[in-house]
Amino acid sequence: MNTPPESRAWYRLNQHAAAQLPADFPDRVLRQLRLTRTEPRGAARLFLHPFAVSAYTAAFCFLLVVILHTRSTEETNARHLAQWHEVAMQTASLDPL
Amino acid sequence: MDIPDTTALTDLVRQAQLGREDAQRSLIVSYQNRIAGFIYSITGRSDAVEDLAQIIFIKMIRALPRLDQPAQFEAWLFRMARNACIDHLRRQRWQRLFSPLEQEDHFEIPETPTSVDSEELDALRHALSKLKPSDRALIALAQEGRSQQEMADATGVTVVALKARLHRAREQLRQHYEHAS
Repeated sequence: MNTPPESRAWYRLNQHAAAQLPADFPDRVLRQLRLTRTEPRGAARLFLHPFAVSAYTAAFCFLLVVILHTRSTEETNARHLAQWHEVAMQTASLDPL
Repeated sequence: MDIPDTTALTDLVRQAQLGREDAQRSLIVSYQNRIAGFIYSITGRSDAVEDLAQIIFIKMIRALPRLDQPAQFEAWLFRMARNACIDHLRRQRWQRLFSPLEQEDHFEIPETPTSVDSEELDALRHALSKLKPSDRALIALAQEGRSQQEMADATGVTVVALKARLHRAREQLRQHYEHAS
């Protein structure tokens, strides 16, 4: 199998990337792991994610608008029905028959 | 540090799964350079290597108890690394979208070659930057010696589709590399 022309470049790329890690990298990872164990994890962290918080807020606002609109519509309907009932009564009382 | 042979690696993974810190440390030492190269070939940023490598190894240690087949550790680790790199690039894209005033953020500026970088490295970096992130990830997985089945599992496509994509990505890389060098 032919060696691709960029194979030496891959070796250099890996060397360059490995040089970006500090000598105590494994210790840093384990230290960070110990620190993050005390932070909220899994579902709790997902729950507190900024996108999730935005989504809850948007959902809450939408729900609030729906509830207020429903209530307002019901109240208006009830008022109109009462007014209509009153008009109907008055019309009935004016009816000669 | 060299990668332990299959049996030794499986034992090491089992011990790390039990929470033994020395085994976890050995796994990190064994794979840190390969993971660093893998991250760099996908992101193209030196300043992303350490942070992403740390995220990947922390995820690895946390998820180790859920790994059913310790013999599949390497494929599992690189799949996790691939997903972390793709998530990182996706997050950056979102950040740029929501922060238009931060267009001059350092992630926007292509990494400039230093005097110690070879022309070969510079050409490869340039060629990789011309590919889509998913194709870079595919090339990086192939470069790590992952099998076609493992790559297909990692990317969620069939082996046939993967072969075609990999062939196309390699051709593009070669063309860009030859053009740049």
